[in-house]
Amino acid sequence: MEKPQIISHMEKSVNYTLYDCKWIPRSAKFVTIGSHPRGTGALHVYEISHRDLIQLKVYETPTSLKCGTFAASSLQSRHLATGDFKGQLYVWDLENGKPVYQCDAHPEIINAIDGVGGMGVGEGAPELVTGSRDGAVKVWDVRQRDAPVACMEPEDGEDRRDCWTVAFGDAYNSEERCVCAGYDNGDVKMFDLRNMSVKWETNIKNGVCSVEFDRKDISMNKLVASSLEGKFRVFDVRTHNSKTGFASLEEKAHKSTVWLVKHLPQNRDIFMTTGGSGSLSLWKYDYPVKRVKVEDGVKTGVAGSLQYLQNATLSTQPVCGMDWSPDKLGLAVCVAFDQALRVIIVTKLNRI
Amino acid sequence: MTAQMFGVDDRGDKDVTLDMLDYKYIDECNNVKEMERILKVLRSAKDGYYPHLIRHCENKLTNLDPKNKYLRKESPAISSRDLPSEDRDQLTNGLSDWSKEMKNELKSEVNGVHENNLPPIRSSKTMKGNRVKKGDVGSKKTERIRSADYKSWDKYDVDEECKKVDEQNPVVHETKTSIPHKVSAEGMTDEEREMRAGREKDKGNEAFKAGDFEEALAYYSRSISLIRTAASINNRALAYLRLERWEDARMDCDQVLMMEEDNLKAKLRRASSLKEMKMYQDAKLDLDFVLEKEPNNARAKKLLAEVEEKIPKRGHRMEISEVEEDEDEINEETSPAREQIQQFQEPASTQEPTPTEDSASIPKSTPAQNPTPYQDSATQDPRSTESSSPADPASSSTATSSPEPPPQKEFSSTATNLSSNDQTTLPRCEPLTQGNIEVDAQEIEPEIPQSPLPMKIEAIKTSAGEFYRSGQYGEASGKYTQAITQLKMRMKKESDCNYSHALAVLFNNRAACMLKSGNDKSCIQDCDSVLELKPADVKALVRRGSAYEHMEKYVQAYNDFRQAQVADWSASQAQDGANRVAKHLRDLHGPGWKDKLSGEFQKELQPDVTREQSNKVPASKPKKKTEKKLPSTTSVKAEEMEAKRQKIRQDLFTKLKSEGNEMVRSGKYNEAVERYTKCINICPEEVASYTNRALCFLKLKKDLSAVHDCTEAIKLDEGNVKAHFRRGQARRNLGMMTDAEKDFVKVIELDPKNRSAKNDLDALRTEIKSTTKRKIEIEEVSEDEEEPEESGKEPDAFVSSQVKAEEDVARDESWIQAPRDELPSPCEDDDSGSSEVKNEQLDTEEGGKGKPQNEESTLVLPEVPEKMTPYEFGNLWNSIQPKTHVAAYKIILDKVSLDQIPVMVSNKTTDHVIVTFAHIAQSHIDSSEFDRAFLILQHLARAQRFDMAAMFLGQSDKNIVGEVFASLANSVESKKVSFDISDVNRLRACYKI
Repeated sequence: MEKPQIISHMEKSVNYTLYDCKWIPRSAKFVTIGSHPRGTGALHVYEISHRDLIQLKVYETPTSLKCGTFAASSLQSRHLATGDFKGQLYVWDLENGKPVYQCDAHPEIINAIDGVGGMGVGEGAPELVTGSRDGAVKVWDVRQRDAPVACMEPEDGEDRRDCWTVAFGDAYNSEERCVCAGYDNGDVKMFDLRNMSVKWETNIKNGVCSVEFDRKDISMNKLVASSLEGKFRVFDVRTHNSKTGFASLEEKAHKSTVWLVKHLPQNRDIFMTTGGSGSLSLWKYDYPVKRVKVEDGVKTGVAGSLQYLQNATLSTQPVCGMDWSPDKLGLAVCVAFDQALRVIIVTKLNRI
Repeated sequence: MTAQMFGVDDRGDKDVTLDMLDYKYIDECNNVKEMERILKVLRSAKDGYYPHLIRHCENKLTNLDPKNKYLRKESPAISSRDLPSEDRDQLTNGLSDWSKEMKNELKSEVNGVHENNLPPIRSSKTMKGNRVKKGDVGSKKTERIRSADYKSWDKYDVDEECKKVDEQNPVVHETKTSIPHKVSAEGMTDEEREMRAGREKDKGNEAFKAGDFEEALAYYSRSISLIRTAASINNRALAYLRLERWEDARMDCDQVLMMEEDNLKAKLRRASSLKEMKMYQDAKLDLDFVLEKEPNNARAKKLLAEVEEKIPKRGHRMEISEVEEDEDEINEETSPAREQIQQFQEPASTQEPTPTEDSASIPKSTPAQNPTPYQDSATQDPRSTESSSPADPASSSTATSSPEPPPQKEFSSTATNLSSNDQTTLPRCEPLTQGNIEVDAQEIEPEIPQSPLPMKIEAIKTSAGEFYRSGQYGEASGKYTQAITQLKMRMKKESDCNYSHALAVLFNNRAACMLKSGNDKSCIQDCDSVLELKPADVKALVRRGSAYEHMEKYVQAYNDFRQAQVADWSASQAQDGANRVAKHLRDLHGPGWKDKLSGEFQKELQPDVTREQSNKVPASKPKKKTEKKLPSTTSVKAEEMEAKRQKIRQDLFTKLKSEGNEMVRSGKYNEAVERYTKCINICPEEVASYTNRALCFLKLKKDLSAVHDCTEAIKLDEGNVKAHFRRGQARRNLGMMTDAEKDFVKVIELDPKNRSAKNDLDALRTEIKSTTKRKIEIEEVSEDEEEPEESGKEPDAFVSSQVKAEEDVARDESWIQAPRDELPSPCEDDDSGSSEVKNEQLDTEEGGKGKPQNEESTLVLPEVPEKMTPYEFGNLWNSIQPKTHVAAYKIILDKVSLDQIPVMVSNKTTDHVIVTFAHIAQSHIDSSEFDRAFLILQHLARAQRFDMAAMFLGQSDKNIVGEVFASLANSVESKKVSFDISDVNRLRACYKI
């Protein structure tokens, strides 16, 4: 088998702190999300041209931005939803840099945002989910101003854990939908939005930096949760056993924190993890021969195995944002705390 | 003693003592866990830093457990600057083509109005306390009725309770989900729909790979509900087959075959379903068809055998296990890269009774199987198989008769993989296609009778293989040495027997042992011996390359890898090795390393590699190479071998090239590009591969890549007309008008008779002119502030419409409609009239200024009685309503001088245009203007894209055109005209009537 290569194609330094980056769907453009030293947000749009990056748009927003997503906007509008340091949720029109939606979503910083229902991904209404330091996970519908359509927060009196990451999944028809959230104490919780209940929860010992479903718009299949201590865990979330939960598999990916897990949009079994030491690791999940075993009439999932495909060290600082291009196989952009953004190309992904 | 004890305690690795940190101990240790611990201690450098010992330990661990996580090394990201220039260009060009494509798509998408029937907003809910409610499942403690509580028992309703139980149970396991099989495509733009369909198909493929056929079926159906493509229907048929829904599978196959008559996969799948439905006769028909097209298709053969068995005595059923192959077929449809591999892989399974990856499970008594652990090296060479099994006529005859598929299932290339294969459940090893070359070689080579290995040696070889597999390389190499000496003795004694190939296999295996145990020099010697016996042995070349690489003799290593690559383009190890070594060399000698270490490389890259070079033995410094021939190799022999190798390569090259050409003809440009790329890899000096690939890129709208290829071709051959012509076309598409013009001028310089280039040049020049004109016009208008928007739009619409029209004949309709909206009819439109006047003025102005490069077109244009640019002509032409209004078209055409027709029609020739022209010609004939009728048709035939459009003429259209020709032919007989019957016939041929 030919090994995929991770090639750093273009690199650009900027004068603000980068937190996130996202490809603008159906284009060769991407947007970087970050914070200026004076506490304002930075929203820059770049385009890939023949051999270099062209900066198309520069916007400065009132507060530092932390995270963003296009996943809940339609292909025509391509509005970017962002969460910022003051807990505000904005939806921006990148053509003119004006907000089309705004609300005070949380009292504290929004650490993570995810969307579903737009871009032809997933069935049903376009919705956003935000996770914040205040411990709450809120689901938003941009058609409804000011109030979330669903809110999952700890009971009064319970201690509020910092929610670091959120992800949508299981959106295979217009009714079903679930949200997965990871907290700083290692809790991973899966909320069923239809029944408004906690579907499943577990603890992976260390703070959960990133959770992601392998695909949002299928009956939930796999979930990867990465942790502070360099490890990540892959759950086969197809088969739930009422006693043992989901089958899982743990792997050490990096020497430091695994900041992100990002599945390849073109192949759900391949994903990239990014590390605190500026490294990227590419993985492939191999299914077991039988994914389900039946014992005493109870189904239990069987975990597969992981294949370590490639790694590359891009920077000395944590890679905090990464996004695969939904349109071009193997193209990705990532940003690190060394105030540089990099366009990377992973080759031979179609031969794996 | 105590100090040591303390040391141990300090480390906290209780098992690792200092005496373990020793070469000998490491050599003898076979415990993976222990090795891991030793490596950890060594790396921590607590007991001192021993780089060589660390490497030794790592090597040992690699042998024991190649995928061990302690062996994972962090490597810096490769920058695209570090890549070889050709790879880099490919990468950047691919990316630029993609970004351009995206830009175009964006333009067409913007107007799409998206009215989605979105589900209602979720009713707001808050959930406090995010813990799993533990009480939920078990809390409903229904009060147990005490046995003596008779009153309660009277009230107890058994049916009710049973119902309750039934209701509760399914809730627990209602995981099977309902995925809607249809997607409403309402309000979607074409691009969006296409994208969605692609995504759904991807999901289907993924589900299929994960073994979830129901889900795969649902997603394929969704994809089909958006866009019906043969590929997704074909995949759905496979999913149906897996679910044993034979009737549905057959229906899907029927549909695919309606869309693509010759789809062999669909035929094969239909045959499988028909067989299961016991319609053996029909199944046989399908299978016969497949075998006619692909006589070596193993699955078809197998199925046919089964079907034929069934035909006389019905009712007996047999299961087919075809999981692996089909899995790949899915892949194949998604990535054409697999196709080639698939072709080779499929037939393989027939010859092997047990197509398992585990070589150990192959019965050792089977004479056809070479029972060494080196299935890879042994089986890749059909001759060695033959030598060990002369009694097996089946395998040897197929081997000689079929040049395409390898006679044996190929195993993954490295011996290390071999051991890991036992673990992998779904083996995805990419088979090397060396078999292909080897088989060719066999055909060319004069048959040397090969003798079977004597039993004794065979036994030694087997045991050596076992040692190798268990990682005892020293023992294994000892055994191989024994086998080799015995075989050599025998060869001396029995001069009539020829063991050369068996000997080569033994040497090759020993080389692998040497490589594993780090004995690089011996490995190189063994490889030399192998290459002496079998000059083009890829394995040996790769091994020698690795050995050189270990010894840091990168130049030699590079040579070997390159040679291996040349002999077998698919040898991934060779490719990886070459890239790796190239990187080292670049680090050592800077970016110009190739030139610095010139000579050798240049020769290497050429197809005519001389044998002498492969015999080069390492020199102490890579820069200074000493040549040393192996004592036994006579130069005569070497030349012979070289000739053979070249022949093999040539055959492969021609095969790939013809395959590529075939692909182009059938419109599969992506596949064709792959073939040509391989051609270029094999023989980078061949201009035709570049120009052909450029053509494919042009068709695929990857203009930058096309330009790049043409430039390469021009570098190789200055006077290549095709290359210049295609570069011109590509550059025109890219909007580099002046460069394109230069290219076309060059073409005409080289080949003054090239009509299409002339036409293109003319069209290009008018285009340049019209765009410059337009720009000026915009300026003027904005000064006057007279409908600035509309005129601003026009050039844009023109450009985009033209791009579209070029894209696809089928899409021409959109072009026809777009401008019509702006200009309702020719006579009513005052605006266009006024702009025409403006144009005229501008033209004269421009002519006065005298742009030299436009001279030709400005000279031609004034001959037109009423000035018309192709753009205006197009607008007028399209504005005619209804589309059958021949008289109106005729009026337009009358204003165009005959030799201007191709320019005016430019690249927008469609079947409608041809038919309309035919009608006009007919009307001329009716009014006895035979000459004009003939000339109109003659000139139209020179228009761009005419051939393509003529090819797509429908039957009714053809009849119309045919009638015109018939009346023209009649006119030749009866009246006096300036053309004769042969002219008519020639033109008729042009129109493909």
